[in-house]
Amino acid sequence: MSIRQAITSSTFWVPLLASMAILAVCFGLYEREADQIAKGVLDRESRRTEIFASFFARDVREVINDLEQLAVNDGLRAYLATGQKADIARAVHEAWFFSRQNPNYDQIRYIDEKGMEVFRVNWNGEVVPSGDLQDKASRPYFQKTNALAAGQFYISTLDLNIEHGRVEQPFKPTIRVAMPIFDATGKHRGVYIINYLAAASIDHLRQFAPQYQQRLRILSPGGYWIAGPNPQSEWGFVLPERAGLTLARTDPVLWANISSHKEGQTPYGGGYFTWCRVVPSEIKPDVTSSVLAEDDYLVIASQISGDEWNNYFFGLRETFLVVAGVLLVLLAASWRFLRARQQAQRELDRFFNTTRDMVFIAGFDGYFKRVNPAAEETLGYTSEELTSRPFIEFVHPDDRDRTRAETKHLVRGGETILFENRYRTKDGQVKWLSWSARPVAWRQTIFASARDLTEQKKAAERIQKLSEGLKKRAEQLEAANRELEAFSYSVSHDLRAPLRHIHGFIELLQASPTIQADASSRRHMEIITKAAREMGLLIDDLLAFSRTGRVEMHPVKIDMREMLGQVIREASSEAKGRNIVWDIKPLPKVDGDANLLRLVWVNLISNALKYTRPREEVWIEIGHRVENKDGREEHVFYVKDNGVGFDMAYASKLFGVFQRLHRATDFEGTGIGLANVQRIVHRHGGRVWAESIVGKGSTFYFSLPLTLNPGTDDIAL
Amino acid sequence: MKRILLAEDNPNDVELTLAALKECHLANAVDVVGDGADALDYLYRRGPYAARAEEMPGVLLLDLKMPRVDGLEVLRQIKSDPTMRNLPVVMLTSSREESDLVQSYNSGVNAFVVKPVDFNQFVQAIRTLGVFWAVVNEPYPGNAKASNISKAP
Repeated sequence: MSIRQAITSSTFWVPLLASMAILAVCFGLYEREADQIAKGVLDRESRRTEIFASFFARDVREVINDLEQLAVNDGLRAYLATGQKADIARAVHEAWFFSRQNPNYDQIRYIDEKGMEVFRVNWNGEVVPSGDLQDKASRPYFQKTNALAAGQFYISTLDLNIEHGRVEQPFKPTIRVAMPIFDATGKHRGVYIINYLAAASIDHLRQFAPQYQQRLRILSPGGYWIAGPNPQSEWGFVLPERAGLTLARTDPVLWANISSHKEGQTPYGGGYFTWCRVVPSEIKPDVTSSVLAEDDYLVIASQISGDEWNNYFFGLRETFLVVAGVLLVLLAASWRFLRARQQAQRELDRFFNTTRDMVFIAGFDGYFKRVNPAAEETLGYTSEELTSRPFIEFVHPDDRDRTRAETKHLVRGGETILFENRYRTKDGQVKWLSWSARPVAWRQTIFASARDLTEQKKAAERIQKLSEGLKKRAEQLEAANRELEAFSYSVSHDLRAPLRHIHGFIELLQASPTIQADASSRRHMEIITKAAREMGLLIDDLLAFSRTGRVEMHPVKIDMREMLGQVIREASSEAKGRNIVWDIKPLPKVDGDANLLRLVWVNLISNALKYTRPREEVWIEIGHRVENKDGREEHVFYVKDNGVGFDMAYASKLFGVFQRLHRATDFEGTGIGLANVQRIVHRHGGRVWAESIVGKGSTFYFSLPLTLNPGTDDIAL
Repeated sequence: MKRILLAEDNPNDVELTLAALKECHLANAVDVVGDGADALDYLYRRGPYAARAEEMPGVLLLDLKMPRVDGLEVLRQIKSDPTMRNLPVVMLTSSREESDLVQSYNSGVNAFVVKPVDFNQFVQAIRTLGVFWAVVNEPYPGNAKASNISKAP
């Protein structure tokens, strides 16, 4: 597949789009989940800063409440009315009581309208001797409070306590809460003031949520850190060496944002910055006005660092990466599986549509559900026609019961192997089909394939007819052969009787004294006798020839050299006195019938002796070789002589019955010998032939197969 | 001297056989029947032969091919009858093939003679038979084997 094909095929796009979709969905889900987490975290941040702000406000409100209580106490009221020392002592006692009650009250004091401390109780009820009391007329808190109307309060910014012009060590974050004092006549009489140790409030916030204490931020007006990310940057507005370390300078954008909103939340440094301002008017709602009427008082904030923020999403991101990975792997796996199934389905379809066999999918309800083109072609119906009627209707009526039974067998879970029935095609032909089928029970389906046997059946019928004809013909031939045998046999026998009679009675006649005298008659009778004897020989030969075709063969292993030796010894005795050279080459052992093969040698050797009779020196060679005839190996034997030979023009007559190429007056014989040779060799599955040159000699050949495979018996005698 | 029974249907053969027997001086003791049925009647003294002398013939010369009942059937009946079993039977056959037939029949034939085409050979065969028969006047069945007296042509 080329790249272009790959890009345009669904193989490429479908999995790509699917993976992108999976990634998009995963990413979307991740975003949503992350959003919710972020929202939750930020909500909590907002609420916490709000709560912190309200905590802080409440702490300050309680100081105000105490201040209000002190302002209306009897001692102070009496002193304001009388101005007597004794009443001062009562007022001091009241202040002392509050100091003892509240360890966060660093100083509780009353300053008269001129700015002179009237009394002061230091931390934990330490009443300052009157000699140590100071003039505070120049202090801003006195001047600001002194200018207030009744019911108004002064709250200082969170500040470090300064004693004798120096910042007190260790740092003592302090808030001064003050109110103007008026006597019963409404005359302004000075200021009542509590130095509140705000560290308690800060600690309070830190301890309220210890796990978040490193996030806590407190900013004073002007963007100075009271609680900051780094303790070295805190208290810049009090400590000259830290004067530049304000948020307003390090991050003016954020500070501007904070300054312009009472509360808010903004991404900051990879994390979030959440703030809420403590508004003085909210500290004491019934206070109509305040010294710090402007909102720029104190900001309580929570800062989540980038690392902390990311930690919220760490597990989530990993989870979604794993989920997306697993989904992609699943997608890839299922895509591959689908592709493989598609491939298999395509192959099945191709097979289904191209196989020469008919393929059917049938339901247990007796209908075809799907048929292949081969089925349509063979039966002549379209797929729609075949599936629209019960299949039994297409079956030849005579085969329907068998077919129903076979279907039942299948429905019960059996298998069909080579079930044959006839179908009617659309054009009325009858087709023989051979079926193989198997049910799939859970699908209520039968899978079947069928082959058209019609041609085969027809061929088988033709072969049957032919073989019947052949059989009949073979029987006829056999009968004819038997008749012929019987005929030749009885002819031979029946010929012998009259011959014997002729012979016998001539003999009797010859013995008659009256006939004996007549020389001419005697010569005639001798001729008759001789003729009758010759006829007897002919008949005997004919019978012998008939026998060689009929006797049963008993094949054994024969040593041809030994057999030939015997034959030659017997024959030589009849050729005594003749000058004969026997040249006998090595001869093999063969399979054959000993009696019959001996007859072959006897005939060939006696022929050789007979037709060499005119020769002074007779030379007879007998040999053997192995030849390949039409792909089969065979022994070839030959007997070669230097006799009178014969004319090759008549070679075809040599092996015929009673066929002679020489005059009886030259060479005696009935002409049956070579016919016998041929018949015997044929019965062994061999061949005979001869070559000759007149006057030079002849060579007679016969062959025998290497392994015996008897030839068909000659049919005639 | 016991008689010779010749069963032969062909009159020419009868005459030639008688001529041969005559040469061997045995002709006077021969009774001739024309077929197997007559041969059996003769042996069992039935029908036309009911009145013949009780003495059994010394030998039966039996032609193989005869009308009505053939030689083999006669032979089978004789050899299956205990009272007849000891009668020597010489089968006359017209060819070597027929002698094979008789031998393969294996029903206890005592000897066989192939009727040769040459009359002189036939006379010779009958003579051998005659000598055998004369010498063994009371022959024992199974004593005389075919090979002893027959001479193949």
